[in-house]
Amino acid sequence: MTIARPPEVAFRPLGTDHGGRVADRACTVIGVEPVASEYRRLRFEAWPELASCRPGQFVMLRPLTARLIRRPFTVFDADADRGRAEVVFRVTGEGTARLAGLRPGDRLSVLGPLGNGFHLEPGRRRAVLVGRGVGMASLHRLARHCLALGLPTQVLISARRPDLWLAADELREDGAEVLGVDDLSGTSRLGAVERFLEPAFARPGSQCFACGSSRLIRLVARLGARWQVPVQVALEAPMACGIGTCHACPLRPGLETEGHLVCVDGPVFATGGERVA
Amino acid sequence: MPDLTVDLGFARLRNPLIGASGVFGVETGRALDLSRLGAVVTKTQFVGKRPGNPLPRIVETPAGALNSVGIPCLGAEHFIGTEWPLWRRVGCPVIVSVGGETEGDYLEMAERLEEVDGIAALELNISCPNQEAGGMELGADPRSVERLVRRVVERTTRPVIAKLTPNVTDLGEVARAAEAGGAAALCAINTVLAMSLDVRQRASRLGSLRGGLSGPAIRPIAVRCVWEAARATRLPIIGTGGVETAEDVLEFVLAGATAVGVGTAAFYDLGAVGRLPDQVASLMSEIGVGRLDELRGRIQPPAAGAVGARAG
Repeated sequence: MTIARPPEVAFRPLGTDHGGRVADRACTVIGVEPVASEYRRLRFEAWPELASCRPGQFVMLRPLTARLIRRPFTVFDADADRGRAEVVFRVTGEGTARLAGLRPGDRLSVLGPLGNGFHLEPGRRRAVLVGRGVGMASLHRLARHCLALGLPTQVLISARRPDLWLAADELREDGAEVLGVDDLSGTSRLGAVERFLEPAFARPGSQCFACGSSRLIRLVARLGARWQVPVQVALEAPMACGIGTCHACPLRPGLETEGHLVCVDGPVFATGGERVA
Repeated sequence: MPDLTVDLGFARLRNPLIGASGVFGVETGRALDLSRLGAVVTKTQFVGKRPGNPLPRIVETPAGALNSVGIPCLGAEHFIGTEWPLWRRVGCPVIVSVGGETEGDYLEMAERLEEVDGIAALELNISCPNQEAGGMELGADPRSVERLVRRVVERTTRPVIAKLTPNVTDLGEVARAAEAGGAAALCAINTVLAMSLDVRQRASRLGSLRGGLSGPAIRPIAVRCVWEAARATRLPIIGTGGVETAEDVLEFVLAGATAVGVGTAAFYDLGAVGRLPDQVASLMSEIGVGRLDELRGRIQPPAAGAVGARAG
């Protein structure tokens, strides 16, 4: 797993509420299908609290029959009415390979909902979302949430190749202004991305949300500081428990910062301001 | 309905299941009603603040987890003032795990905890493989163990449990040393010293070179250690290592354990941990055991004609 957590960027907990009830349940798999070439979309039946969790919250998953440490995934989409949730991931090892091999009707061990989720600041009327690769999986539900609230929503999707732009067409259809950039054409170069993002940051009332690469996180943190735009970043980290016990996921290991964990103090953090880590 | 209660000598538990140190926190209560357990052990507490080890700290290995978390800790003041009041509300007896880098650290922590009400027992972590000093190094030397246990027992009003490391040649000798020092019970085992390397990176898969192995992979080692400790001493034993199912719980009892710790399974199946007490009761009914005493240590001799040491 790539850990996008650039050391020169200051992160601080959002102070949003967490600590609510978490359930550990067996859920039925609806299906697994390829999406954006290299990713897998896993849909499963979810209980009401999970199917209505906040954008940016995550679940810990493993196949019920595989006694593996569960892996964390942001909820990609959820449907409270139909009692469903889904995650999107890239197969990177044994845990994700086993999840990709699930079939409809198989059982899934699910712990959730976990973490704080994104926080839309009142008075910020424009959303700028910046995702790289499978990091878009952490932003997709937020994008749909912003659109449902009627907020003008710009989404910059960066990937190695255009076929890896996750949910680009879908979000465009839903009304987002989507720009895909990629490494093949060179459009994902930092300078080009900055030229696109800067006007968006400069507009009054903007708020930025990002996930996916150290480079982009550094960039949006810098632009946020320059234009006084609040920036929230979803971080990912290997973890074993998801609820703050195992300490596999400190934001920054260290004497004074050990207490800030990606699982319970995040996974969404604000950049800038008072540096805690 | 079988009788699930167990008597550790210093405490009577409603069932034999004990949440093992390092795996349960107050926050575990968000997903599991901790009052379903017989008792729970806190993470190891030190007098001073400690940073943890470099990342990654936990990796999966076949049927197990390898960790080098390093027991990050906010210190006695934080534990006593902020964390302990939350522990008092979890609804089961709470054992506080005590750590140190020197003998003096353990003694100071035991003394600090005297100002706190409601602690069921102290568990001395003399078996952590991820500490630079103290921990396993101390717990592998019988003379140090006897001396440390004796000096802690002199300074505390709490029953003292010695948590043993499997990384020794003669576990019975360490168990006897703890008994001679005045321990009220033993906990066996802590994690097994282990390594896992990535050949492509030519590096440890952990942020540290070595770590402690836990989970089902170590269960047979733990069962053997409990059996050795039970043969060596008269102390009640908390058998711990890779417990997942009711069968595992009763396996430890059969090997000689009075209570049974559950650890790594709580990371991947908290729901199953909550169901364990009922499942142990069902299994006891099924195999005709009314009380756990009837099973404890009653291993049948190998059948006639069986070869002593068969290769697995």
